Amino acid sequence: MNCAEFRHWLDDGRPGLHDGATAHAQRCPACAAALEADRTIERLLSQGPSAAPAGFTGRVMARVVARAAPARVPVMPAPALPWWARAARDPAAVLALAVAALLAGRWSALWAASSTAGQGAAQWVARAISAGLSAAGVAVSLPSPIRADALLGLEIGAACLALLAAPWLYRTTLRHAARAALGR
Amino acid sequence: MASSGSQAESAANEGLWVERARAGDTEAFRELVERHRDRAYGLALRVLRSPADAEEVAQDAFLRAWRALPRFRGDAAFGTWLYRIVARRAFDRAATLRGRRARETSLEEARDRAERVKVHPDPNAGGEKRRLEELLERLPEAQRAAVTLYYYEDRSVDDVAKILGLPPNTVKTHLSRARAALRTAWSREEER
Repeated sequence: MNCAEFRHWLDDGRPGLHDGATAHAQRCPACAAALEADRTIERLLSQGPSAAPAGFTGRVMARVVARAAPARVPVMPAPALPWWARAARDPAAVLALAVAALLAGRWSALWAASSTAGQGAAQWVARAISAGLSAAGVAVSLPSPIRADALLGLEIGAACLALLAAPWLYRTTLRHAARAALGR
Repeated sequence: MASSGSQAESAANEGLWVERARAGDTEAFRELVERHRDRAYGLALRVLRSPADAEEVAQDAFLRAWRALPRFRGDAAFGTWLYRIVARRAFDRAATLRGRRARETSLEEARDRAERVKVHPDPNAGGEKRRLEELLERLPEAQRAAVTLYYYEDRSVDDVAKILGLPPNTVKTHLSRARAALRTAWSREEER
């Protein structure tokens, strides 16, 4: 081993017991001094830097405790309300109750009103489609009056749309309630 | 054997403290702070060379660890995870300080810096240790962090790499260059 190889061995952290290195250090005073310096530095490095200053733990814990409470508060506390009150806050439940009450109490009036309104809407849609097709050069003759089963179909479609919209409305209401509770 | 047994016991105890701290027990977290404060502060001090900055970074790291504990999966030891936070924050702070120093070139700032270097070495430390701290001052931050973790923490190269977020070969290079620079400077001073 020569001086360059010896220094390389020191730079690598003196891996393993190397007979060549020991022999080289015995006959080269400069490399022997470098080995001694290396051992001293390693000993000092293993002693580590200064300890944390006095009161360090107390200062950390004061900050931890100050942060602890808000971090552990649930975002939405469980409501301590009876089931009927919680159900009453649900817009879908309110909507369903209103529709059920209307159906039970005013069935005939509701049917007459929906038939008239539904017929008017269906005729308006049919005229719009017919106008579009005429513009495209397709002649269409409109049935008059609109058939009852077509009306029923339109009404069922509208009810499905309302049912689909109810959960979305419910989630949106909850989100706004949560934001209001957090004061954002 | 007795030593490895007590180490295993200590690691198991630490696991219990970590579990309790994860559940929100601040007293358990205090125990973890007591166990790791010197090493966390020491690592930050080695990188930053300023006791005030090192304390702030170490405190911030503990606070961040507390907030992130519910997400700590225990894949690595708590110490490894914590030192990773300390190292990252210390490097960030060092970069900020470097940028600030580059902008502030007044004589006053230069004097402050000189004071900081003089003040830093532990007044209770022996002459050799103080000398080493002054030589460490001349190394780049990543090299200082690598030698601190490797020698003081007695970590493997792979562990140091994980903590510093560097490839193992880069850590080896840092260690090799740090050893060479420290040894050369040490020998030069010996010759005077």
